[in-house]
Amino acid sequence: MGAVAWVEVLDARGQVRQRHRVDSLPALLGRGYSCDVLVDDPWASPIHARIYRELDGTLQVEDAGSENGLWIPGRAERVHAVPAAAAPALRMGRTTFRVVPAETPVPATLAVDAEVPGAARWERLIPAFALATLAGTLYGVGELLGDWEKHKGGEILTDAFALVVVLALWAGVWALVTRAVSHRARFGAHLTVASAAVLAITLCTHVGEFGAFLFPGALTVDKVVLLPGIVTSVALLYWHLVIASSLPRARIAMISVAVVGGLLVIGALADDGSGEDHSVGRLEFVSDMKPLRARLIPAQDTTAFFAGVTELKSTVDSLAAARE
Amino acid sequence: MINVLRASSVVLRNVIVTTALLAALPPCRLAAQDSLTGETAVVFQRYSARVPKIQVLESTSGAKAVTGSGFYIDTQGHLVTNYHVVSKLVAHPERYRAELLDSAGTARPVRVLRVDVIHDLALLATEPRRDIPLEVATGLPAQGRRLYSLGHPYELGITIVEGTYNGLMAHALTPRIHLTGALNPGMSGGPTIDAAGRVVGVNVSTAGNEVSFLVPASAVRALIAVGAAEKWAPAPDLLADVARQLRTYSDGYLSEMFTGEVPSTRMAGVDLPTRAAPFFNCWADADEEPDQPWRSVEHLCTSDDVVFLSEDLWAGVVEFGHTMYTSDELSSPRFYSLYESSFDDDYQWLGGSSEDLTRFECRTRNVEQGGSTWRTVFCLRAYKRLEGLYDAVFKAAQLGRGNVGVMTRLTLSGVTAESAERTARRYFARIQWVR
Repeated sequence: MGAVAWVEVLDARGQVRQRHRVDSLPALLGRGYSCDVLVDDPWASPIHARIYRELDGTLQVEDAGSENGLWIPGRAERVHAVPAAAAPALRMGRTTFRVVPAETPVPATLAVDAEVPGAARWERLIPAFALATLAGTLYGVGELLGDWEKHKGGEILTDAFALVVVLALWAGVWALVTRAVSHRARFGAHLTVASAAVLAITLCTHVGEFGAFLFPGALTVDKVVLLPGIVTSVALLYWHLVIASSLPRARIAMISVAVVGGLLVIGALADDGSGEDHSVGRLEFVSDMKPLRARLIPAQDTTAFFAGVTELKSTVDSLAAARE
Repeated sequence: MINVLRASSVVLRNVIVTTALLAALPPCRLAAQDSLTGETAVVFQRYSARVPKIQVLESTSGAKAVTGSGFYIDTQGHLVTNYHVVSKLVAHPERYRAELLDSAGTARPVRVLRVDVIHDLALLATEPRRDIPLEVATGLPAQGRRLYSLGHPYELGITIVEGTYNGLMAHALTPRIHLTGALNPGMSGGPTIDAAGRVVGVNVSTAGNEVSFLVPASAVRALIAVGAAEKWAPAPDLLADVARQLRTYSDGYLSEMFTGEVPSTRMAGVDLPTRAAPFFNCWADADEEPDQPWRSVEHLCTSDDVVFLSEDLWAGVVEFGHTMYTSDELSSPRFYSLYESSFDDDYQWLGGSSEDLTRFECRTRNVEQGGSTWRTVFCLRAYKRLEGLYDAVFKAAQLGRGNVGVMTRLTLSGVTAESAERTARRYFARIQWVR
């Protein structure tokens, strides 16, 4: 004998978490062991709701005299009885569910090699790996240009490949987490997000180097990269969590900001200055230089440059006075 | 690449290190004196008692920190020694005290009345006890004249060393007598006398191999004159005197530097200053290896005159140098990575600790000079205990020439900020790109 209907328990994103088979009607829903569909929800009554068939054949869900009532999520009033087809979701206690008649049609069967339906293009593996390869290539080119020894060739490929592997491992860990939480790993989505973040940071660093070269009085690479770096970190964590979990997005945003902020605070507290060299012999200045034509480089005259030495003098004088 | 810049610093550092001062430090070489003539024996017998040992002791433990020698200049208990023998005491009177050990082995406390940091001399006072002074000569002896150095090398007791007077050092900023004779640590501050017992100079340093240096008697006479004029009263603030002497001294040698006719050298089409004064020593070297896709040439000028401030801190350093980089093989982005790293990797080697100095503060800009654009850096740090004194480093790297570039730097230590700025400005103005 086939099922009459299915009760699908939903997670916060509306994804199906559990399915309960209903073989005959009417059927009882609740916490009690006499029910046809048992829910592990302390906020649900022992007999909370009932499913029955109307004379016209439609399935109906009604409150079976529960303590906390039957609700349609998003609506302010309790419902007494509602046709199953009219309610995309119902809530008893803290359990969200829907009732699906057994005769509900399902989509056509996919071919073995077809993409997952509903997955956005950016979640697919080929675009994800393309983006990772782009990030790897940019990184490899950066490494090559930042070096001045003779090359045997192929080192750029090694660097690029190494970064792709690291990105894939990173995305793999997130995919495992995602798979543990929901029914899909979504590796491609995680890889895309991680690759985009690495690309953003790489580009920011290049912009920062040019900024520090052209305007050494105002910019350093660190200054340029700081804010985009924080934003990228928050965004990276946000998207990984969105992909992996079913939490509401506002809460994920809060978590991301809190985690990155917390890490920054811990980093600032842990930084006692021992990592940086403040020894009296160290010359600390903006050294970034790029092969630009001279006419493209904003420059001042020597008088303006040496006029600033007075400022240096008062700075070191105050340093000398402060440590007396 | 890193070695190119470092190597130059090593050269100059060696000059300083090998010109070791003679205050006793760990033993390095014991020179055997085996040819005492009859005359030497007479000189020793007659004058050695006038050369006591000077010790600076750590106050709480009473252990020796520095030992040197000195000599009486009158019967009132006044002595002369090197500044570097008593520099710890001058810098930290709360941590150290000084005493002398006379020929009878009796210890007497001494204090510092005056210092001449430029010539490395100090005037001391102890309680008078019928000590016989040495006369300070007025003129210079003839070259080749036999001289006798007295002092207390290591812990060996009073020693006499024969030496030969070889004139004043050529091209020195501060006058030094070149003595051929083996001075050793611990003899610092002791006198070198002629057969008649007149002090020709004060033992100060050695470059090894019997090349030794003396402070000329004229500087000793000048210091004694200051002490007498002040009625032998101790200077109220010795560190203030040290600072003032250094300011006057450095303003003096920097006032004319890079003005008037300055010889120049051309590197990669850029005219750059060289040997700006007779007291500079200039060298050049090239770095070119078959496996290295770039080439560099370095030109470095240093002055050998440095003023001792403490074991790891020297004032009066003037060093400037230029490095040209070029490459046919490297693309300009890769050439600039080399160029940038070479410009950046430059821990300057001036010593000092955070007790004496602030960290460097730098100003970095792109500046127009002599027909091209330069990445220009000026860094300054202040002496915490010597008012009005600074160390300065000026650096510039030529930009906009693809696979060729020249960078230059000027290092000054123990100077006023104004002198440093003025000197750097004149130095930079000498640099011209001749296309």
